[in-house]
This record gives sequence, structure tokens and C-alpha cells, in this order.
Amino acid sequence: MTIRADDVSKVFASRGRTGTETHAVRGASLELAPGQTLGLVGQSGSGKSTLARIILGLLPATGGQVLFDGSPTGKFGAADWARFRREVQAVFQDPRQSLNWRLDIASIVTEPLRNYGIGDRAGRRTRAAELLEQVSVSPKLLSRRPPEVSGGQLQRIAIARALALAPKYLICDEPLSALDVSVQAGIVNLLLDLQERQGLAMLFISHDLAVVRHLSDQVLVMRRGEIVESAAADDFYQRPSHPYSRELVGLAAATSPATASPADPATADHLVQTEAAQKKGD
Amino acid sequence: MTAILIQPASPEQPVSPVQAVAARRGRVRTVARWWPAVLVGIWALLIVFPQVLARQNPYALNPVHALLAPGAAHWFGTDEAGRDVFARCVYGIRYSVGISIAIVVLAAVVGAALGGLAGLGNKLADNLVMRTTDVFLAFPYMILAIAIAAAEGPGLVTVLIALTAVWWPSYARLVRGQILSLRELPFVEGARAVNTPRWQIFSRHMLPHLAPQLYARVAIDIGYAILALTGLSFLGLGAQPPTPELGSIIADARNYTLQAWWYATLPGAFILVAVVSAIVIGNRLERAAGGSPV
Amino acid sequence: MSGATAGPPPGPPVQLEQAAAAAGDAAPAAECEVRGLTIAYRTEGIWLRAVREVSFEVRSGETLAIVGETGSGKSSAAQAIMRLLPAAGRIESGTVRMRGIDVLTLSDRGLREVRGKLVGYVPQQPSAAFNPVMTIGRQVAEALIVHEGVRYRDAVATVTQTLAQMGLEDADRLVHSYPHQLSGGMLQRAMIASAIIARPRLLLTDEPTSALDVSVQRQILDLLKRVRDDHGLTIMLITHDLRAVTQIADRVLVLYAGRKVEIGPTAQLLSAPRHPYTRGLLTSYPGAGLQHKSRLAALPGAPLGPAEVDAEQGCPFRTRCPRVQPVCAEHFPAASGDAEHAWHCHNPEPAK
Repeated sequence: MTIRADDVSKVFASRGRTGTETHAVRGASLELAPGQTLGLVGQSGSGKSTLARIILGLLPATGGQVLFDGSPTGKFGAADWARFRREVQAVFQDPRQSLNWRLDIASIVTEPLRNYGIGDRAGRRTRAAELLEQVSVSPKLLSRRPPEVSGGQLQRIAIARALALAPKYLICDEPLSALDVSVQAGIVNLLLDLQERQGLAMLFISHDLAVVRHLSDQVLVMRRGEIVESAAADDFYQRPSHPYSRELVGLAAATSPATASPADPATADHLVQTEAAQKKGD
Repeated sequence: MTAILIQPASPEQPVSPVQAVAARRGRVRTVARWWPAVLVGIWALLIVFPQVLARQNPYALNPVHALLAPGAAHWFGTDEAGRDVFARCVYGIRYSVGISIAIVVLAAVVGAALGGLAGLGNKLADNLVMRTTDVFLAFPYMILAIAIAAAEGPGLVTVLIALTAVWWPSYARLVRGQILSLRELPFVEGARAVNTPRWQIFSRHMLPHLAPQLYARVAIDIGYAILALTGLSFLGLGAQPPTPELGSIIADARNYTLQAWWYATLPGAFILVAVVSAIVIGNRLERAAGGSPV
Repeated sequence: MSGATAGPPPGPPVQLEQAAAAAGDAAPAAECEVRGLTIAYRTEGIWLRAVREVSFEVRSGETLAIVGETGSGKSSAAQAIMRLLPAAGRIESGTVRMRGIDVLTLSDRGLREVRGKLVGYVPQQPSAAFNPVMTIGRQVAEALIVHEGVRYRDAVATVTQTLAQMGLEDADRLVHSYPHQLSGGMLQRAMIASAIIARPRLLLTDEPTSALDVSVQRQILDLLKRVRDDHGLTIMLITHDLRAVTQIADRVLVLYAGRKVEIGPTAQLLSAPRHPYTRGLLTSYPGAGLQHKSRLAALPGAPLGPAEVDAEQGCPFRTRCPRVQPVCAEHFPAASGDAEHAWHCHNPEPAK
């Protein structure tokens, strides 16, 4: 059961002034297999979020198709989407926007369960508490509302909601960008746990190359609607082939504030090797 | 790796952390938040149990004591049939205010439902609803009331139909407008991603955002409905005798204004108090609604 | 220092400059000196402190980065320097001196001279900071018009030239364009142009790179460096982005929950931080040397909310600190270290 995007394109016609169309996505293809983590890197306007929404069925493609387990999603009816959404869930960028701030956390987390008629009221509440524990959030927060909760906790709650139906695929669209730096690492660790413990397949979208590379098996680089490179995460850092990728890798390395523990000779060697490889690439 | 339970700031305290700090500093401000509720309570009481305030029977005819000035026995004096005016006013509240509430609530419910349909439905539904509101908005309610009265006869039912028919479109437009904005918010996308059906997006997600504004609007509109209703009754289209509706009381009082000033003015004061209460409560609700939903 | 009385008409050197010159021939090395600054905001009826007893100095010609997250108070500190706090905020105590002159006690007139003439301010989100119904040229020229009394038509040439210096192509056309016609990167350049056009000595930039892409960020920071070198500017850079810090800052001031936590030269702070928060920030980032898919050294918990920031008696970081001691709850630690590199910690990281 894979998710495949085949030559997907999306053109937005502009309202008002005639003739100016925006090609948000141009012939993008990717394949997400079970248990795999695909990283999608790109800057703003590269089309990565648009592609994510097309895959999730929130936006129709204007060209190409998305195949879920071989069936094209363009031809999906309500029942098909219901089946799809049980397996494929999403986490979006800003939990303060992607979650309804007037509802309480319990309603938010149990919404998928209610939509599919799973369990009764008490059962759902129990399940919500379990889900929160899974993401390291205290079940006491169930009666709170989003404004009373910190950003990091809220994103964990968004992840908990995405996990409610026990999906096999998680599409994460810039899940760290709206969070404080000191909180981002915790979310990264949580995602790593989900990959390992639950064998979740993930499409991780971000503009931050270092994080994408750290989490993913395969890295895709998107630029102006096109996927310009697809490489295994290790290869990518050592030998990025496309000039745009090299630019991104170079920038990330040159401006990285992180210091791997200098006491560890192995990591220090790796650092030196990587930098040397980059210099050769130039 | 050990799991770290992230605890909220002060899990046991019901007040906000800021108020907790204020309390510790010994400077807690108690804002009387209860007075609008008390006001609503008083009006509700009078509508359901007017006997509480009015001791006399509003229907008791007593021509011997006609047109008495206000005094100990009759606080608002008596009318031309000897009936206690005060009692008639208090009993009249259930018509003047009660029916007004019914009108506005009905209009709001119908209007919100249709507005939701227009905002979330397809283009056809949107156009149908909007053109219908155009038609109804164009109608002056008085003409409509006269027309219905001519067909069905005058009465409170007539007025109820006429006013509701004319009032629902503004709610439909309000709700539709808000929905068009709310629809673009990210949490709607999030709801679709978990397969929430459209009508539940409306009821579960959007109504909580609309509710505060709607409540405020309903409260203020009740004030205006009272004026419209009493006005129509004054013209004879609404409540018929012997129903002690405030508007009809004033209509009856027209003939006796010079002899018995209390007969026309004091019921008018009642109307004034009712309308002002409604608007004041509405304003309070509007402020409590805080920032607009979008 | 003689009280600056009826000042000269706009144009000739600022009365403040004269006063400064008169005040000290041993001109203070500090372009901007902040001592014991405490700022509070009014929330739900009471005043809560958002910045507590923060002291630091910005030396002439250097670039100081003020780093912090949500609730750190960094933006408030910057706004306070320009006395641009919103109505709900106030400075409770402390002094802010620019080249020896107390900014906090200035009159309105004196303040107007500070803003724009001595200090250029580049606010967050240029797209929101520009007036959508005024042309770029008009807005960039504003500082010139206000401070040097020139008329717009005379200032246009300078504006166009400055915009071109900022790397904006087609500056002649841009001068007559409106903000919505420019991209984020271009707006940021225009904003910097407007901040430096009156030749200030100090440039205050609030999150100049946050809404921008990585490559554009690099360009903007390179631009700032160029401007700094060309004009001999001192820069105060408010940011949460450590990448920006590595590219441009000479020294870094780290704020946490309204408190000053560490300050020192960039290289030293990044390689050998003494405060656990600074260290935590650095090590929680996935660097190139980290093993693929290994767990990051994440800081538990989350930054404090406004009520907690105000109420905290001891060190605000203690709820998340791996090196916490009982004494940390009792009182906020005094400064350790020297004039170059200082930190506030009861149990700092060992020196390397």
C-alpha cells in the first residue's frame, strides 16, 4: 500500500488580472512506501505545501495523479476518502491555527473517532487520554483549550489527533516552524519515536535541511514547483548533485550553530569529512 | 528513553495564572459579571410568572373605578374599563417581550441554518438562498403585516409571521458572511483531513465562533422587535382586545390622554425599560464576545 | 551636562550630539548602555514584568545579537531603547544611555532626534511595517524629511541611490512602487534603506530574517554586514535564529524569561557556553556531526508564560535545567565571569 504522486501539477488561475497563472507544482513525482520516511525540502513558494495538500485530497491536482494503493485519488468518492483518511493523516505547521481554538482538547483529539463512529463517549475519552500519553502530554489538559496550552504541547496534541485512527502514513507539513527552538528538538524526538515504535511512514516537509536530513531516509529537494533531486539522506549530504541542492547544503553547513560534542572523536571526524566533501563538490 | 510528562502550569487552579499572581499580590478585582444575568432572570420571571409583581387581575372589569389616577391601590391607575393598568402592563410583558423573543430566536435559527447552507453549500444553494434574502429584505414589514392581516385577520400570530419573515434574512447574511471567512481558516482544512462532513464542520467548528456574535445580535434585535411588535399592535394589526399587550394598551389610551396621562405614558415607560434592557444586555454580550471570529 | 534648552532648528548637528560632545571628552565606548532595565506589561488588570533587571552594553562598531525565544523579553528590550513600547507596557526601572545620554528621561523633541537620527529601527515583518497606501520612496524618505527638513522631491535622488545600494535593481521604478508589489526580500532591503538613510550610528533590527528563505537570509545578512562596514554602524540584532548569529554577530546576549543569562563573544559562546540554556539550545540542534536518526538532546518543558516570568523568584530556567540545584529556586544568580564573557548561573557548565 504505497502513496504515489505521478507527474502531479497544479496551476492556480489568478482572480482579477487575467493571464497571470501560477504554476505552483510542475510534474512532481514521489513514492512513499510503508515504514519509510521521505523528506521534502524547499523554500517558501517552492510548492511543497501545495503538493502535500494535493496528496491529502484537500486540493485537486490540475495535472497528473495521486495513487493510493494503485487507485487514483482523483476518482475517489466519499467512501474511498473515508478509507484513505483512516490510513493517511496530517500534522500542519501552526497548531494554533490548524486546531480550532474554541474547542476543548478532548473534542479536538476525539474528532476523528467521532467521525468514524468509533467507540462510545466514555471509550473515546479514554482513548484520548491514551493518545496524549503517547505524545507525552498530561491527560489533565483534556479539558483545556488551545490558548491555555504552550506551543510545543499543542503540536503534540495535533500529532495525537493525527494518530487517533492509527494511520500508517503521516504527512507533516513544516511541523516545527511555528515552535520555539528549545521545543523543536522534543518534537523531532517524538517523530523519531513514532517512526521506530509504530513503523509510521512519514512525509516530512520543511525548509530546514538539517532537520529533514536527520529524520529522513530519502531526501527530495523542491524548487519552483519541481523536484530537482531525490537522494538517500547520507548521499545527499556527502554528494549533493543538483547545483541548487549544493547551495542549500553549503548554506546549512556554513551557518550551522550546532556543535556536535567535541569530546567525541568519531563525530568530529565525520564533521571534517563532510566539510571536505563539500569543498570538493564546489 | 524515559517519557517526560509535560504538566500544565497550575493544573488545580481554576483561575488563569495571571489572576493567581494578582491574588497573591492581594489585588484581585472583582468585576460584577452577574448583572446581565440578573436582568435576564427578572424579565424571564415576569414573562412566566407575572403574578409575582402584579397583584391585581388585569382582566377584571370594574367600570365604577374607571380612569383613576395612580395611587396606593392602583400603582399605575386604572383604564376606562376600571382595569388595573399596572397589572395589565406586567401581564403585557409576556406578549410584548415574550413574542418578540420568539420572533428573533426563530429568525436567528432559520437564518443561521440557511446562511450555513449558503456559505458551505454549492453555488446553487448559495444563489438560491441569497436571492431569497434579497426578496425578503426588500419588504417593509408593515406592508407585509397588513397583507397577512388582510388575509388571515389581525392578531399576534399575524405579527409573528410578518416579523419573522422579515427578520431572518439579516441573520442569513451575517452567518454566510462569517462562514465565508471562517471557511478559509486552517482548522477547517484540519477538520477535512480527519474526514469531518461539511455540516458537522458548520455545527461543531464554526458555530462556536459565531455564537458570541449571534447572542449579542439576538439580544439587541429583541429590543428592536419589541418596538416593531408594539408598533404593529398599536396600529391594530397585532394583539386584539382584551389581550393586555403594551402596544394595544397605548392604542386604547389615545382617547384618554388628556384626562388620564398615566394611561398612555406609563405603559410606554415599560416599553422603554424593556428595550433598553435588551440593548444593554446585547452590548454587554457583544463586549464579552471579544475579538471577532476572524 | 547642561540641560538641553531651546534646541536649534532641524538641520545642523543634533543638540544631543552637542550635549554628548560637551559631556565627555573621554567619549564612552558604549554606543548604548542598558542598566537594570525592568519592563512590565498590563495583562488582565495587573502589571507583569516581562524583562527583569537586564544590563548590557553595546560597544561602538560592534554587532550584538540579542537571542531569546518566546517570553524572553528581547523585543521589549529593543522597543524600550527606542521608547516604542505599546500603551500597555511601561519601563519600571533602569537606565538606557546612548553615548552617555539618558534616553528614558528625554523630552519628546529629544526623543524624535534619537529615533531615526541616532538609531535606525528595522521592525519585524517588513510587509506589515510598511504603509500599504504610500509609495516605497515616500516611506524610505521619511527619516530624511523629518530630521533634515528636506522636501520629498529633493530627497528622491538620495532615496533612489540608497535603494540601489541595498542591491535593489530598478530603483527608479521601485521608488514609485507600492509595498504589495515587492517581495519579502525586497521589502526587507527597502526597510533597511529607510532605517539608515538619515545616517544613524546605531541600527536596531528586530528579527530581520525570520520571514525569509535561507538564501535570502544570507543575502540580507551580507547586506547588513556591508552597510555596517561602509557606514561604521553599530548593530543590535534581535533574533531567535542562531544561524543569523553565526553569520553576523560579534557578541551574543542570551535572554531567557526576561532575564539576562549569558553574554560573550560569538565564537566562544557557540563553542564553549557556560550557561545550561545556551548549551541546551546549541546541542538540541541537529548538526552535521550527529548520527542519522539519533535522538536529539532536547530540553524538557517549554518557555515560561508571562505570569510565571513575573512570579519567579529564583532562576527561571530551573524547571528545565539539567544542572539544577536547590539554591536555584531561592534567588537569581549574580554575574560570574568577566567583562568579555559573563553568565548568571549557580551551577554553570564547566570551562573547556
